[in-house]
Amino acid sequence: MATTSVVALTGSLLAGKTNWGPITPVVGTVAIQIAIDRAGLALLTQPFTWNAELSTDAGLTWNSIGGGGSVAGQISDIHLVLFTESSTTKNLPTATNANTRLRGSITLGETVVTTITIRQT
Amino acid sequence: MPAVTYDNQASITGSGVTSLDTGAFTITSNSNRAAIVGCSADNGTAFSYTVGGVADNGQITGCAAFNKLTASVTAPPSGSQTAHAQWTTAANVVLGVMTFYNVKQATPTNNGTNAATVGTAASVTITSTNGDLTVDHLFTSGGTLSAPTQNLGYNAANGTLVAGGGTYGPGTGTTTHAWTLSAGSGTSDGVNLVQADDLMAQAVL
Repeated sequence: MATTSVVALTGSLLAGKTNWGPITPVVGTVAIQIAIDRAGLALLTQPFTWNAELSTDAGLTWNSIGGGGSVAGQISDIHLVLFTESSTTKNLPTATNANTRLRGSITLGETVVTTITIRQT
Repeated sequence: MPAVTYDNQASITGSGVTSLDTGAFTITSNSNRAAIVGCSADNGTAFSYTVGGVADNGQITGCAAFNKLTASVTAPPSGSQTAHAQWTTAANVVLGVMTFYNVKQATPTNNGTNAATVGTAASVTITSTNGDLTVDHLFTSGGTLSAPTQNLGYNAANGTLVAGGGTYGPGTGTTTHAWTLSAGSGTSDGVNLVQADDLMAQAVL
């Protein structure tokens, strides 16, 4: 299945918790990736966290599908290649349908200019 | 005394992260609960874990020594819970957790061991006693995992950067947990979950 990307949030996000969604994933999605662009984080200092929730009843009830956290500044992998984004990926137990909804939040310690992209596979 | 029994699992992957939280999963209210948590990361970083807010017991003796990759958590609370792992240096990581019950709370694990992969074959053999349950956590970088020979708990990959898998098998003396790697290299951690003492029998004696 091809990957479909949706921008959930973009621009200047204030310190504190910012919610995104809900969105309706493409029917048949089996994996969800939440990606935070790091371009605007290079000169910042505060760690940040994010999480996501999934509903299978069109938004009546929600269950966590997990999340992650990272540090600000420039970070690199073991090959010294800069991470251009931080992301978490969750394989779903069953493929999404028309009643599936996705929402989430990011919690910041300082104002950040970034984009949160939801990739659906 | 009932044998150690598998309960549930959860997993998640991350890239450029210093912590991961699994989604919510249910831990049943059976007695003598325990969890085995494993992380696969592509750098040398030290992990700490919680399951349902309960901290891990430290690295299991005999498991891979260069990182605290596999650890146990004793008596996680029942109900809807999450597992959390955190470390200091951003990495590509897979986090997996499996929960069990009827596990001896004072010494939940023994016979920890590890084995490096050979080519695309990963295998670890764990010594156990009837009533116990054997568990492995395989971590690899540069490939994905398939064809586990024991009961699958989780199998998650962050592309082809890192992958982690966990299975559980019968406590029948010696149990071999094997996987196939698509590429790359890795290490299998193996551990035996010890059956809880039969307190009723002890009381009669």
